[in-house]
Order: sequence, then C-alpha cells, then structure tokens
Amino acid sequence: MKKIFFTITMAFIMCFGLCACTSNTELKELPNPEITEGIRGEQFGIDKNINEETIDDYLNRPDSVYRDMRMLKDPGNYEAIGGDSYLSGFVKGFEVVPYPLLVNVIGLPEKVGDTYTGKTLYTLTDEGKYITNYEESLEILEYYFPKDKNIFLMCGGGGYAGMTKTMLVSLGWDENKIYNVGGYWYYDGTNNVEVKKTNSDNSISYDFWKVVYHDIDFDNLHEVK
Amino acid sequence: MKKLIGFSLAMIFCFLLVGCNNKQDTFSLDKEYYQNNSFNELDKNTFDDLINNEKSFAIFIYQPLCTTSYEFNKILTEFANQYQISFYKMSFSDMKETELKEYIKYYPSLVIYYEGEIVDYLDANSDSDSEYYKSVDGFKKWFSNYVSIQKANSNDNLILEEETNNHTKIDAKLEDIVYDENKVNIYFFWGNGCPHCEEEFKFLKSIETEYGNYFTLNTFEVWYSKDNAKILEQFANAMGDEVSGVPYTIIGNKTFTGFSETYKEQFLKAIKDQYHNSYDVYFNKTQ
Repeated sequence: MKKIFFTITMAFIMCFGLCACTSNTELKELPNPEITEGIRGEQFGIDKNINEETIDDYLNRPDSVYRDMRMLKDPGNYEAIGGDSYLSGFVKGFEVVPYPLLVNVIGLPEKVGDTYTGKTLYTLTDEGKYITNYEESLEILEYYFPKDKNIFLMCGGGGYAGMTKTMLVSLGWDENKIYNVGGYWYYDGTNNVEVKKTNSDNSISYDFWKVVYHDIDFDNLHEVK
Repeated sequence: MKKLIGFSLAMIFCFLLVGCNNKQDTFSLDKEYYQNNSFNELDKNTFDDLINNEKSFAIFIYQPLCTTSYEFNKILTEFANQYQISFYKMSFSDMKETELKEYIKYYPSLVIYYEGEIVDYLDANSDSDSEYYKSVDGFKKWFSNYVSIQKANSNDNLILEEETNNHTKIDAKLEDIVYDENKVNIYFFWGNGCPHCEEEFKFLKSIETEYGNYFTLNTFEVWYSKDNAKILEQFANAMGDEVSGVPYTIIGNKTFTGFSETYKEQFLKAIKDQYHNSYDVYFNKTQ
C-alpha cells in the first residue's frame, strides 16, 4: 500500500513539477524600442536592438504579433528601375498584411509609376493626416495589430514597416510596443522561409502558399459617408 | 642641435596648421564614367569582368521594394547630372551573390572601386555616414575624398569648377595671362578640398573691391590637374622654392606657402609694394 501511495505521490509531484515548471516560464523582457544608427534609424526608424540580426531571439512569443508589410506582388513597375517586385521570402512566423492596403503609398519614384492604387482603409493626406475610409477600418487595424501585444514589423528594407509604425502611433498605438525590425533582404538567420523558387528548367516560380496572407475585402466594408 | 630639432618640429607643426599636403588618395574613375550620367544595371558577370580588368568605377546598391532607396537615388541622380559622372547600379539581392556581400550589409549604399579594389562604401547603419546620404553636397563631400570630380563645359573640355561662397573659381590658362605694368599678377596654386586654400580664396575676394585695381588673380588647381601641377613645379623652381603642399602663392618676388590670418597683412603689403612695374615669375623667369 505504501509503495502504491508513494508511486502515486511521486507521479503527481513529477506531473505537477513539470506543469509548474512550464507555467512558470517567463518571457524575456523586451528592450524598449530604440532606433539604430545611420539613415536606417533616422529615415526608417529601424530598431537598434530588435532587428534583422536579432529577431530570431524574439520569435514565437505569445505576447507579440509578427507582421510583414509587403504585397505578394507589388503592382508598381519595379522592373523599370531593376529588381524584383515579388515577395521572395519571409521570416517564419511573420504574417503578411500589405501596407498598401492600409493606406495610400506616396513618394515612389516616377519610373515605378503607381503602386497599388485600389481601395485602402485610410487615406494619408499631404498634411500627414490619416482619414478613415471605412467604418470598419479601426476594427480591422486593431485586429491585425492588437494594442495589448508587442508588434514586430518587417518588410523588404524597413520602409513600409517604418511607415506602418508611424501610422499606428499617429492613430493612438503605444510607440513603445511597436518595433520596426527592418528588412527581409538583410535577414540571414535560421528562420528563413523561401518563397522564390528556381525550377529544374531554370524558370522562376513563387510558393505563395507558404505565406499567411491577410487580404482585405473592401466590397464587404461600409464606406464612411 | 636640440634647437634645430625644435625649430624643425615647429616648422612642420606650423605648416600643418596652415597648409595642406598633396591629396595622394584622390584618383579618377576610368574615362568612360565621365561626361555622361547613366546608371547602368550591373550583373554578376560584368561585375567580375570589371574587377578582373582592374577598372575604377562606382556602384549604387539599391533595392526597389520598400521605398528605402528612393531618397538617396534622387540625390545620386542629381549629382550624376550635375557632375556628369556615370554609375553602375546593382540590386541588393544581386549583390548578395558577389564579393560585396562581405562588406555591404544594408542598402542603399555606394561603393567606390579603384583598379579592381574596394576603396570605400557608404554604410546606411552608421551615424558617421548619415550626412553623405542627405544632400548632393553631402554626397559630394564624401565622394570627392576619393574620386576626382570634374564638370564638363559647353565645349566638352573638362575644367575644374567649385562653387563656394558665391564665387566661382575657374582656373587661369597660361596663354591668357598678360603683363600689366600697373597690376601685379598673383599666382595662386590651390587644391580642390583644401580648407586653407578656401580661406585664401575668401580673403582675396574680400580685398577685391579695395585693391582690385592693383592685382590680377591667376589660380591653378593642382590636385586634380596634372598640367597645373607641372606649372606649380616650374614656377616654384623659378622662385627657388621646394613646394610640398598648397596653398602656394606668388606675388611679385614674394612667395607664400600655406595661408593663415598673419599672412593677410603680408599679402596686402606685397600687393601695394609691387603693383607698379612688378617682377613677374612667368614673364621674367619661365618664358
């Protein structure tokens, strides 16, 4: 009897010990957002501490969301100035919420022409104000970028990510919870998910099925009158 | 002996304060990169050829997505138009397939090559490089540390031209210099980028109103112009000087190496004393 009792007790303790151990795991405290040096910091607000080189240490946090701000294919004529306008890869865990669907992109070079010019949740005016276009705009934004979480933003080089942070802060988000992690092109870590693929006949294709992509169906939204 | 060493050190120190040594690290890009302003896309094979053939050139590293290259692109385009210099351009993603990936971690960047070797590049993640990204003048300040910048005139001849302090410095040509018995010719040898030369330019400009009738200023840029460097050597030899830096100025039978506040009075004295029937190294000694 004693043996059975001892075994059960030990099993319980072990189980509780394991459970307790798991539930007591504390998340590493995040450094406050701090912009890095050079024009990457000044112009785009890329973070000094959590960036392309260190993001691997901050992935998979339940207290955070991870957002890549690029489109799968940017309709701008980027071939006119060289380069690739497709999303060719991303960091594992980042979900794509295209910045051009949130707000109109301004400041592209003439040769590129217009990027996506369709409907957007907000309109950015020349004075830097964000005008709400749909009754659901804020709700959608809060769904994709929950205010009670840390928000990690990336894109190709840090530009769209920086613009997203500017927009969110302007609309009331806490700037101390938003990190511009920078650009996928600089990422050389262990969580790279490649989307661009060279086939056996040397043709190029894109595995967009790997991407968690958040589209916005504007036809089902209600325009602000 | 100790006194001699002390004197020599003082002289060296003094010259360091007022003069500029020759700019040994400035070079020209290969000829085909001047007098036009193209931005040709560079692929890996062509890049390898340029390295193997020890070419001197510059590459703009950019990436079209995410808007981060655009502002610098505009500045670079304006610079290329203004100074008629051609650059290559290579997307960051293509660059990662080349040796440059060991150096360039972020775009935008600009890489300068001299005879197939990297000389320097701009770092977008460095505060010390920030000013070079923000304006044409800022970029020029960095680029001209290494590369000779020339500007094409309407006759397609290259002349050096530097606009500062609302005056334009265009160098003299020997054949255009004349002797005037009521004006002393000043021969002013300078280096583009030399701060002491700039001070001397300012001073000479400041006395132009009052003393302009007493002198004619003839300037010769010697860091970028081999012809002018030869003229400097020829004139300095004729004056019995061994010149190792600029500014170097000849006013009549007086010569001045370097420039500082204390030289101003001496310059004025030399002008006032010698403007009439002056000694002229060009007409008296070198012709």
